[in-house]
Amino acid sequence: MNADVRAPLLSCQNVTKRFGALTAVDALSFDVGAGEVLGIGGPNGAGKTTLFDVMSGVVPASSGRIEFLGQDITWLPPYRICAAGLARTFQLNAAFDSLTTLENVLCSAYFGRREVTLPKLAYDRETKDRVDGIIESTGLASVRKRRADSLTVLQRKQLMIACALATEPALLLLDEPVGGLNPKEIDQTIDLIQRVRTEWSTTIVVIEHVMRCLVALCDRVMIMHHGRKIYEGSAAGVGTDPQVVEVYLGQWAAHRLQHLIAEQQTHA
Amino acid sequence: MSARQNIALALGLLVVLAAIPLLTSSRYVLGQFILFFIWFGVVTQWNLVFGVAGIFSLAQMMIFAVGGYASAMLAFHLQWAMWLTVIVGGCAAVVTSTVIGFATLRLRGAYVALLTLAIAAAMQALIIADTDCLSFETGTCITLTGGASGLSRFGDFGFRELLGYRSAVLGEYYLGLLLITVGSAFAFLIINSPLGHAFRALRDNSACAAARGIDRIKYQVMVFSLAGFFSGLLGGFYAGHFNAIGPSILDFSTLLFLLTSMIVGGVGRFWGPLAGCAAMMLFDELLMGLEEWRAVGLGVFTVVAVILFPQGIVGFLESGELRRIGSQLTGLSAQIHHFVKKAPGQ
Ligand SMILES: Nc1ncnc2c1ncn2[C@@H]1O[C@H](COP(=O)(O)OP(=O)(O)O)[C@@H](O)[C@H]1O
Ligand SMILES: [Mg+2]
Repeated sequence: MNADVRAPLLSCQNVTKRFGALTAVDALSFDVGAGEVLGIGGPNGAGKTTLFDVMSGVVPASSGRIEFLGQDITWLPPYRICAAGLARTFQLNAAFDSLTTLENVLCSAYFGRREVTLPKLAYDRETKDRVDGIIESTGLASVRKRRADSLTVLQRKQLMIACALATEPALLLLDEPVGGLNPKEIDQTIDLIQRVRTEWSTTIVVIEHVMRCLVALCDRVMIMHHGRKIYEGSAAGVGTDPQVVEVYLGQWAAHRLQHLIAEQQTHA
Repeated sequence: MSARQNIALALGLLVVLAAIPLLTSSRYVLGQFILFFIWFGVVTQWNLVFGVAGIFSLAQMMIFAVGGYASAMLAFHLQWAMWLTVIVGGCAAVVTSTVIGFATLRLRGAYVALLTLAIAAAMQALIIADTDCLSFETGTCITLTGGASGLSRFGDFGFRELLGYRSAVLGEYYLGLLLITVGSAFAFLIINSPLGHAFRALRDNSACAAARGIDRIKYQVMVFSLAGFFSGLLGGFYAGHFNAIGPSILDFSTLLFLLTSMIVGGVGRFWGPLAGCAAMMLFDELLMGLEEWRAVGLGVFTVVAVILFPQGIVGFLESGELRRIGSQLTGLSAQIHHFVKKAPGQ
């Protein structure tokens, strides 16, 4: 589709993460081109979240190399990686619970966009205006003043995306953005992510189990199993790959996936 | 509460506190208010570390004591003016607090409490063990820190010469009020600034905060440094006001009293220290005549307060709970009114 493959925005080379004897991410290599949306699937425990943890610096890699915008970010602390333009969301709807929606997005916008040496006593006009825009377009306007711990699951997911966007990322990592949502909310979230892609021209990597979501959003899909890549290619090819069907999808889901893709192609 | 409401409440309280000396000239009452200013001031700064940033440091009284001892020692040994030594005490406290901040970086939760408590206990033990005489003025041994009996008679803020013996307490009252006003404004600015949000973000979810650009190491050290200054100033003020300081300032009972005040008032909330210290000191005052039962009474009060208001007094007032009870009471009184009007033979 509109993937720009000239220079990869992000390049992972032999990235490995071990927890004692367990190798959660096993010598994984892949690139993400600017402007593309890469989907990551795979059974529970495949190492998808750990891969995000390593990429975002929350957990240090055991070995390997991660390059982002031409810079080696493998050993940078998470706050530097964020300032460099790589933002993520969390599988467990993480937010700053005692802060309001507005304060959550404000402090993400303030600290996340570039490194702050010494914080000022108040937020500047520009940050406030930018945050207002983000809150508006992520659908959080009605809960601006509400504490984050009083939000619904959907609102917390929206808040996480809003906070990540507020750091003005070039690359956004979404960890199961529709997990735990009902079909209507899934559609709403898919719509939001698509708008993020077009309005903010953000490159996206999205982990998702909901195949409908992957098919709707992604230019390319990677399937992981035991920390390794077992498939990389089009979403359409996922359902016909024998290994993916065996370890992840199963026959029934593979059929449904083929059905979904056929449906989408007739739509387009 | 909006910023405007907070400021209005603060100004109102300030006017009331400024007017207290017009209502009473009792040296005892004014002295108790000064003590309240000191404890409230320390808890306000402690709340930045313990409540806002969520780091379970128990070092605050030790930081206070560093300020107090630094100013007392400078006034005692070098005859510096108390005004100056208080400022130096504040700076010494910032340095100490910063070092403690660094020391806590690799620890979490209860381990921070243990480490900081151990540091405070070590300071007290070192002071008590200090018996090396610096000089023998008039035949008495003078040690650097004063040892177990502490330092005394090293000078005050000069209000006695300025206002006379009877009114000196007024000068100290207003100096204390000034210190807590500026200290509270300082805390308020921090809590409501980007910095305060960074502290709270790290407390709420440190991994998420790091992924949003907040450097834990930097801000954890910073909150310790910031909370040090006014604690040190108040330590110096304490030394100047009582014209004495001793190792008992580091007693666990004082620390516990202040910690309890913070919890009863509402941890991490701007008005928590004020509500907590006022409630605890008032209750302590009421139990004055009970002698040995006083500690028990205070303990019972704490337990009841914590069970009734798990979020502290301020947390309770801010929650919808109060409004709910209020509307129930109005409903009840309307029903009673209705019932009374209908009752026969009235
Ligand atoms: N902090 C950790 N310590 C030890 N093991 C971990 C840790 N985080 C994840 N794991 C293990 O790594 C494997 C991959 O987990 P994860 O990345 O969460 O999988 P996924 O997101 O694909 O479901 C799992 O077996 C998990 O138990
Ligand atoms: Mg996961």
